[in-house]
Amino acid sequence: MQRKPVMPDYESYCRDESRLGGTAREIAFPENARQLAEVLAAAAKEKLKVTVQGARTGLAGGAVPEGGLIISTQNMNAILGLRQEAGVYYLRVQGGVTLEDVHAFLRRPKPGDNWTDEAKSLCEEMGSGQRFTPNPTETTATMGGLFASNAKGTNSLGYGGVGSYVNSLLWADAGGSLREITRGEYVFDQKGCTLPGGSYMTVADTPKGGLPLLYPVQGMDLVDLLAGSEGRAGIIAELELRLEPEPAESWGIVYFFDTDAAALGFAAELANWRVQEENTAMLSAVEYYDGATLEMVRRERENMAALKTMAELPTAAGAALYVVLQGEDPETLELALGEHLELFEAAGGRDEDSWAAMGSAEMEVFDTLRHGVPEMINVQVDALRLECGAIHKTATDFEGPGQRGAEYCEMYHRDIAGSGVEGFVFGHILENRLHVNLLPRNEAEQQTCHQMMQDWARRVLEDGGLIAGESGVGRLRLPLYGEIIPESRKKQLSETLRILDPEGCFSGDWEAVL
Amino acid sequence: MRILVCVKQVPDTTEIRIDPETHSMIRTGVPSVLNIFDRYAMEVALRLREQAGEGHITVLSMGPAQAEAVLRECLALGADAAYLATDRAFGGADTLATSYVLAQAIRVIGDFDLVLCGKQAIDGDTAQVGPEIAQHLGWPQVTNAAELTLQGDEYLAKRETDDGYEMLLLPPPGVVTVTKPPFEPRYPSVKGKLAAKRAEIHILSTENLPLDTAKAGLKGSPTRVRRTYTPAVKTGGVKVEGLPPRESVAGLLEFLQEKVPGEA
Repeated sequence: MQRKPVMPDYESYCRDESRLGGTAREIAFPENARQLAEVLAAAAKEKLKVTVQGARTGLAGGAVPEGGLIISTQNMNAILGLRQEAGVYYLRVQGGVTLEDVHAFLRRPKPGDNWTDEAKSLCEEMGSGQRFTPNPTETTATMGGLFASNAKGTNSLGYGGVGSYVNSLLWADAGGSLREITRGEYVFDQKGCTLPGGSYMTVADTPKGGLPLLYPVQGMDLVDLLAGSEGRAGIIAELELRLEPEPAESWGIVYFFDTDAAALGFAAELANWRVQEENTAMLSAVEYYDGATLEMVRRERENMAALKTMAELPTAAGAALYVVLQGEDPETLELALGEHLELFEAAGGRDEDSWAAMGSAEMEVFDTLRHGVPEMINVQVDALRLECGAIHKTATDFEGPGQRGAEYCEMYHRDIAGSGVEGFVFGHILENRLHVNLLPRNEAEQQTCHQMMQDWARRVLEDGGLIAGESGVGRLRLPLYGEIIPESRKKQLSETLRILDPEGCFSGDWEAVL
Repeated sequence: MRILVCVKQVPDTTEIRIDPETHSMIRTGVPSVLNIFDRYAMEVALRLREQAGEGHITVLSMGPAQAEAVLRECLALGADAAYLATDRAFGGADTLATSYVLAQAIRVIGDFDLVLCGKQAIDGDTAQVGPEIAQHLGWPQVTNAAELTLQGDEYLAKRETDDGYEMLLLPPPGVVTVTKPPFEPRYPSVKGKLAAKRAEIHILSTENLPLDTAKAGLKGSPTRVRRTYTPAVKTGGVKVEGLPPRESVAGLLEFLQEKVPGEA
């Protein structure tokens, strides 16, 4: 397996969407599990630091190298096969297959030339109508990367993260050994679990301390432990994805409100509505956009091709909620919609200030809005960095206690208003996983933002929340919040990493913080 | 004010596939959408009604039963009534036969001040149906209207031309075909969508639509589509780059002279 010098031809591989930059000596592009194992084994022999990369769409700098060797999975992009068990379809893919590739395949399933005859005929039998349920916004991300960050999308409220929909992995450890890990084979009991390869890992006996990753608990499957391990414990060569039938009917509604308070009031009513057992399964997403975000959309949409054709936002709109209902019975969904409409109007909403879409094709424009908002912010950050190099992307990924989303939202708004820095709050309001994006315009404002983030992180930790809810810890967040993460948690994480990566091949840069 | 909007269901352009054996467009299994120019026409109708403070909007389509979906989309946006002209006898129609059936339907449905059509359907791209409807009805027409507003009892159209715009006053009744306006069409509201799901779609066929069947469908179509195909991608050629303009032009000229002696 050939390794190539990074400079000059592969310099762009030293960066990802976090806007952090790094360095590396060499890069390799394995095309299959065997080549991946070879390059890892060679790197281990030479004691090289390794950074694994998928599509480099991560926001936390997880793919940014700090010396050593980059292993890019971009050429491991084959869809390998299909099987069925107990009526459920499972799709096997290499780690470099993107979510976009999976969607395209499921829209028009076509077997690969190298598939078995059984898989080919199963593919024809399956037809379209299956989906990979989690919907992370960045569809150009690789499945390996999405598993490694346990990515979540707008429908995480209803369906959780990518990890839950992975049935098995072909895992390459730091030494280059390949291991097939299937759900149910390695489960932590009250003490721990013997891992493939023979080492033993005990369950964590410390508080989670704000970090979601590598936190083994009783009942946890090894697949779920590795989900969100951010390329720090090994590399995913292949994954088996669990598919589900598309729901019979989907509704996507954008509700516009005159004020943030009205929007948050409606969100609280939706949370109460959702608690009723018959309603829980139907509500798969509730996304919040604050007034500042809507104002930015009005201002910037002309500069974004995907949003130029979107209708104008209602003039009086000062906040919005995007709600997705899905289910098998159209009448039940319509009843639910009627109930939501009553709640909406009771919160001061007007029907003419709602946008309704039925089915994934119509709902696409609302998904595009959700994707477009962080992109708009990135464009503005890039422009500001040209004027002041000290500025960098400043965004939170905190997840506070689920039922306190409105309270956290008010805290963010209060502090942003007091700081004088421009900021936007949007995201998963019922999970209290809001993305607060700040736009400092100079070094002094960047410092102010840094302090605000630290204060918020402390609040999140005090309340038992997470400092990295969906986009990973990476190289950005551990140094940023290292001082406030409890020592016991750092010790537990360090020990866990030592079991999975004894030589510190993948996790070397965290040593300074842990 | 009574407005009728003609709409068509067309294949979603991102999903166009050509059958490699018949060279025809594959429509089976391809998602269908409301023709974008008809969506603009619908938005223009809604804005006229808002400007007038009153008005009735009817939508009409000719097509198979599945075209009901685009009529419901228009009802969800605010249309008051919807009609689908559907019959085996209407199948295979070219623009002349289509416009004949639509014009007959318009006469039967009611008295209208204004008929709006999208400039063209993005599958056929002929831009003929709107003007032909006007001709069948004997009404004046304005094509390529980027904007349309009420001015007193007449309609003021801002018509897009190759050189710019013309401002035209159209007394009712008339036909206007609509091109892309300077605003984006709205989305339906929740109540609009729910009401549209339950609304009645009035069906027009040879049983209740007086017409000469010899002028409808394939029988009434003087033109035929022989083949639909994607043009072959041209390969070859040369790219001149990295040189100052004078040298680039000289290089291109030399290439052309070699390829087409005596012509360049």
